[in-house]
Amino acid sequence: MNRRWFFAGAVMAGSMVNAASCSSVPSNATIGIDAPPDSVTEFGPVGDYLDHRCGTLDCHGSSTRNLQIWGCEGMRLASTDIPECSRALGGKATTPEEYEATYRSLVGLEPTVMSEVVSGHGQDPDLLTFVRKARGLEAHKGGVLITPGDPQDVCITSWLAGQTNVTACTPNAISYPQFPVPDASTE
Amino acid sequence: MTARLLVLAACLLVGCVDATHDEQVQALGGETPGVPRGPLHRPGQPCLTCHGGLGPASHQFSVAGTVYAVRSQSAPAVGAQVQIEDINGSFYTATTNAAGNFYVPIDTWQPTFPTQMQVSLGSLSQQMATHAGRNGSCAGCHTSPQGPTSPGSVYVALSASDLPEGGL
Repeated sequence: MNRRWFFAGAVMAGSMVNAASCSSVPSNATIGIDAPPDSVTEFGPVGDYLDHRCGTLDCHGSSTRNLQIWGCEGMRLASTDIPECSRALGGKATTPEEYEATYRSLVGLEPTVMSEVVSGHGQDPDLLTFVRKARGLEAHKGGVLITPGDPQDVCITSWLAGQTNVTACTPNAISYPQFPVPDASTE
Repeated sequence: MTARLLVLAACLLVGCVDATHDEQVQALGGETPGVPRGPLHRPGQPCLTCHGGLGPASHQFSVAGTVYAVRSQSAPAVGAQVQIEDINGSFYTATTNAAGNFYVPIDTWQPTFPTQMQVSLGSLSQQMATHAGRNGSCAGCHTSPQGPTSPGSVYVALSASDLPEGGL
């Protein structure tokens, strides 16, 4: 009986300590990690590139994926929006909230590794799983998408380094995926 | 010894079952009464769920789907040309049947993703605005109604007024 009371007391004391420690942490508390730029100016072009290249509805434009990409070419955040960028067809451009959702998903995949990469000024992007997958260094169902040094790679790595190369991120400049011009002889 | 072999065989069998795939197949429901299994069945469903190699269908497709005449309407686009181009520039053109269905047998043509598509019927034509990253089922993304995660069904005319007089 004494042993039973001892355990009950220990459990109660433990619960009180837990409650006290939990209640002392504010609900909006954050830990200090280094993160890449999140403004629409600096992350926006990266978000647009990711939406165009990786965010189709059958790839990362899906809420079932670990890396979730939101934008007008794929998955939309608002229930009233559709996967369409053109206003003439009832769509609208990617919203600031969608850029933020993509940013949070991407940075939140490996926050401590992301912090390490950012604090190293983007020198070791391969530490991040999403970069390794895109570069084909790790199994990726979507295949090899970027080559170190190509515009798509520069888009990502410049952002990780804290200075987004907007030109490299522009879909019209890199035109990926680039489908060859139709040739009647191949049909 | 025989019992052990039976247990091993059972384990191997169970290990081959893909519960997620089974659930996806079950979610499609049964056949529509009066429509036999075949090229005209299940318009608008993600064909490769069953025809993608995991069964239960015996015919395997690389790309397949359904094209409708008018956006958000159920009438099929019969005889529409579906032109598919893969990232290597390889083309394949399929024609929709009486149900609006088309399919590409995997031993006929297998694209390297991503792909882009265009559907046309007479003077009407629609180019897919984005590309398909890896899914050969049109209805994997193109579900009805249109919403935040679906562009709606595949169509050739934006509205009935776009159709030639007398329809298609």
